[in-house]
Amino acid sequence: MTVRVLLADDQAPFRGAARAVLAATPDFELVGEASSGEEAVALVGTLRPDLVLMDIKMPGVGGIEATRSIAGAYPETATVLLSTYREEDLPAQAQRCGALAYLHKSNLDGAALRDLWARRQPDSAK
Amino acid sequence: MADDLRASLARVVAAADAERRSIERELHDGVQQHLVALAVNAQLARDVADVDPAEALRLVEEVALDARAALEAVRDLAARIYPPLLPDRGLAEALRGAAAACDVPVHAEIAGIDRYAADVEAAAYFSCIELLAAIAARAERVELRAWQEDGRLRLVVGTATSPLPPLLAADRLAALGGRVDVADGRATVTIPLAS
Repeated sequence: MTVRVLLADDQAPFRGAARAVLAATPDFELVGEASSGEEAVALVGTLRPDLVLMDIKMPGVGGIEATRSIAGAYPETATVLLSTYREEDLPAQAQRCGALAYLHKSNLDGAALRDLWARRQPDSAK
Repeated sequence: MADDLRASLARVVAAADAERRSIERELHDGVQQHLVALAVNAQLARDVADVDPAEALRLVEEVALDARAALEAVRDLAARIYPPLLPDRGLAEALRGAAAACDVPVHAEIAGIDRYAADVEAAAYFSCIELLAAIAARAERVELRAWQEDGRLRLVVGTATSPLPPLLAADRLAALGGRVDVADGRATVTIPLAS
């Protein structure tokens, strides 16, 4: 299957890089982009992506609160939190918002995407 | 008097904390984002080099752009922390640089400004920077005048159409016997000069 991905980040440089990673990764397709937590939640409602790559620090409600909303309303959509912080420096809510995993932005590549998706759908990565 | 001193120290600490938060935000939203994009694009270029050399080359060009953007972000932040123009070429040139970098047009009249003690130049400059930012957020243009008069350094920054917030640099000015007066969207900074 092709994993349909929504990218939520207010930083254009990273959105550009993530776009290139998704374009080069077989079986992953970028279906939409958001630049705030509110926009991400709304786009999940209309696009119904399989996976959301969600920046933690965004204008408005931010990525953690948006992830909580998505996990509650669209449990079939998996959300991966992204930031430039070390995992141990993340706010405690990051562990309890319903995110599938946390990924440091600099580690985003095709292998990381496949690994993250395999955590949710162990059979689909094989 | 003790209460005044305590209040002044509290404001100095609060201003320092606000500045630290502002620098952290600027690092996170600026240079860090370019460096992250650089790391991701470099890794991707390596991954696709064998199968798609043209895409790898495009990504290497992106890496170069990200590196340049990161350098510019670091340079801008370093200049905000302490502008190299200030110690090198003095207050007048630093004020002209700040006026040119302002988000809105600045009509600047800077005349008769000499070289002064480093603490005086820094107090005048950082007061001006703070006022330029505050007024630029409230007006479409800014007027800046700086001159020396009767043993005092004077700066007027104005044209705000709504009240200005308290000046964080006020305590820095007070430490030099200076002050800032705000009225009608216009702030006047006065710093006595040692004879």
